[in-house]
Amino acid sequence: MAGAHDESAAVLNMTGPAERHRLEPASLAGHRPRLIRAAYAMCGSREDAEDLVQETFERVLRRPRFVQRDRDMAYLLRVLRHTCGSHARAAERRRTAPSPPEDLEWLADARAEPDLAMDARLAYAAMAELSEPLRATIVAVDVVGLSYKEAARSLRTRVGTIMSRLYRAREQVAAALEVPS
Amino acid sequence: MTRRDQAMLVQLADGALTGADRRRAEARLQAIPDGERLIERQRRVTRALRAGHELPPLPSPASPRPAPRLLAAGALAGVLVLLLALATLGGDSTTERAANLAQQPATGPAPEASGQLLRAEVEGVPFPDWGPEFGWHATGMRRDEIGGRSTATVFYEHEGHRLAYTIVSGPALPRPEDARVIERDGLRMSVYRDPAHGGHDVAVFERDGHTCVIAGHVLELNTLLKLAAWTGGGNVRS
Repeated sequence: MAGAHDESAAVLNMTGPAERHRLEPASLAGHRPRLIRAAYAMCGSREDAEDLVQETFERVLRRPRFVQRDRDMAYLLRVLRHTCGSHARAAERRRTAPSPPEDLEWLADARAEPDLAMDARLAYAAMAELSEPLRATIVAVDVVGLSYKEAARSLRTRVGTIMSRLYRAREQVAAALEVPS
Repeated sequence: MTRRDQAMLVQLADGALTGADRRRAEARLQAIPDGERLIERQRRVTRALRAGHELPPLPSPASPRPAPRLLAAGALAGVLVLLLALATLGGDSTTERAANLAQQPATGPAPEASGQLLRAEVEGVPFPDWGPEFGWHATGMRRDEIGGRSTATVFYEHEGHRLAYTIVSGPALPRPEDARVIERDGLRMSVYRDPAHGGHDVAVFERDGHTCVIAGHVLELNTLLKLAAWTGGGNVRS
């Protein structure tokens, strides 16, 4: 069980600029698509999601931020969650009006197979029904692409908890995918 | 079901286990009723949530959204796109361009397996066969020329994830300057995450004096390190 998480690799040269780098606009832009989907899963509106990500970038760029090179996404997700949490209106929208699956075509790559695109729409719609801890976990791992360890660090919990929550979150979403349309 | 079993199913579904850990988990799976179906349900959700790799632009009709913040956001977005474009245009090294091949499609079939290796090589440096040990199966191949060097790339896939393994001809190239240096089982690798390509992990290392680049998306960096450092019982020489 520990195989995927062991730290047997010896990390060398971990001081100075190789360890941390400054977040710049160019590097943030590459993270934007995943963050927008993550924000959508949190707030339930594409327009709000785009605003939240822009606000996240503005917050991050307001002053120099230095993060470990492979932890950009974990850091950005944490700022995004704070930004999202501070927007009561977006939270209200999440509670009252999650988008129906037919409005979620933009979530899937245009090149995706139709069945997969449909699954994507249903899955994002189903995430609206998850409890906050389960939704935060599935967003961190399956939408943003963090490792279990990164997600645990970002959500301030244990790796085992992340995997258990991830299992339950996916199970609930999977149930929605199997409901005949 | 116990939390331990839930964690195990998640890791099996994500391909996060390798070697003995994977074999133990697969044995345990036999004791879980409907275990295979539960894993497939997990994978279906993961596939669905990762189907959106690229976002099309918002429809152009006027949005009812309040203008000032969006205008500021739009201006910032424009600057971001411009900076990204400039960064992309600005002279990638041969190593970085080799890593970018992970974004390209295969142009030929996967090489056949032969022992622990595949029947494909660059100047005597063969590609490993990760299928039996790790479940990463070669699915295709392409050949390119980058910066005057010929390259061969084999694509491997496992549980919906895809890695590109590129070997560059000629003497070893300079290593990326801003990467972490990690040593695993005697193999020294320069490792970084490429934000311009959806957060792909990249490992650059040398085998027999040739630069090798593995790039792609893995759930755990440890998986990439294990694959890169695997010696196949001595058949895959560093």
